[in-house]
Amino acid sequence: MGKSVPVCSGCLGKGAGGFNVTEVSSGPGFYSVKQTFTGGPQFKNFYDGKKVAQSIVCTNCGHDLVAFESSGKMGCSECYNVFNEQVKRIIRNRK
Amino acid sequence: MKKDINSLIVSTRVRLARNLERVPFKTEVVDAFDSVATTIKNANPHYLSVRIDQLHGKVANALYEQHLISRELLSNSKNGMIVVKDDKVEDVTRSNERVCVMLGEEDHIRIQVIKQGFDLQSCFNTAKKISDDISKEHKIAHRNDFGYLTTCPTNLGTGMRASVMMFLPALSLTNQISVVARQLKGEKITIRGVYGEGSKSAGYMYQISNQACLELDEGEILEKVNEIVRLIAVREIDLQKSLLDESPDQIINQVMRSLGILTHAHMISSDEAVEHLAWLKLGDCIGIVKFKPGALDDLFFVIQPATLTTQNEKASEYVTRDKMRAKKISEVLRVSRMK
Ligand SMILES: [Zn+2]
Ligand SMILES: [Zn+2]
Repeated sequence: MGKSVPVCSGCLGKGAGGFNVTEVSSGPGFYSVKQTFTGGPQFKNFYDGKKVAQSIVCTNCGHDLVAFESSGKMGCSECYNVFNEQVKRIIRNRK
Repeated sequence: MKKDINSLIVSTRVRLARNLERVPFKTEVVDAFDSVATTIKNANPHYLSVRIDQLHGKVANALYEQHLISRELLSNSKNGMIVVKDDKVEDVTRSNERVCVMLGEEDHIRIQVIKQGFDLQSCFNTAKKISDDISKEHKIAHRNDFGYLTTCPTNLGTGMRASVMMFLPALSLTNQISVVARQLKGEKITIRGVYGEGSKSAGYMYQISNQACLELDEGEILEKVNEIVRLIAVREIDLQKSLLDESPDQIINQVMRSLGILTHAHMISSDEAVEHLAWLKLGDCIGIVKFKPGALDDLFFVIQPATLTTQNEKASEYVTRDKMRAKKISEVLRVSRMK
């Protein structure tokens, strides 16, 4: 969970069904999901170094990497083929 | 022992997230989900659908309060819909297995099944059946390596979230709940307070649920949640016993004071009621007082402001509502108390 990856802010701190509930703090040494996945800056830097990524666009829904980067969300099921590598990275981070 | 565990478990919920192939996740097409709603209703004759823009505000609030509908869906007046099992959407009763399918939330389809008590498998079976009904007529987005494709890649996998709402007063009062939370790290299980802020949850209600992952299938996730809920329950029961051993008079005093307030108050706010109900429920768990199974659990929900308002229009005004709440609680306690 060390590296920052784009995560939908709406999905953080939510319980079953997407309802707001409070994360139980587990005391010292515990990092809340919120703190760990602050998204934004680090991720931006990661991709800023690889400008080529900016040109990726889903032809089915028009979602591009910038939109994915800022929201942490996919545009449609086809986006998963288009952003395959980025998704695999998120999955590796999730472990 | 089994009975003890059940007294700590308020409700079980299973949610399945599904999306339609190639349809943009945030589609603005007005009738985008009509055909899915029709499929569900054809396969389940007792279900009905309601569009969000036609949902009565009073009912919407009650559904939100009961965690059956999310803010995100409520704000989707373009094509948001719910498909519910009962003909009265606001109905809250113990016997009901509540089903609410949200259409047009973050994911196209979020099937939710909630039951009172501890019954992950039957919640899952009902949700899975609806998912299967939909799959017969619609192409659901799925990949072998990623599982069900969701709007947020963080939810990839089974699309399932199984959760159990537990009453954990002793773990909470002794702050052992944070130790439990720490031990659950790495188990892909999360524990959260249900009401209020911080690690101490009002009413000592906590939700134990799985985190999305690609490594486990539905059966394995259910098994894992099941196992952890049992472990937590055993620890809570042990701790309740030692609390009672250490300071019996203080606990009996608190339980009886709460009973006094709940049976004699003329007006009571939902916060105060939840606090005293929690003490009463603890008293019930450790045998200081005895109520019909489920009666106290129901009260936690039916006394919430919006839910109370659906039962009686006058309750929308708070003085009236606090009076109605006090009356409701004392009535329920009187008829459900066992000697
Ligand atoms: Zn999300
Ligand atoms: Zn797309």
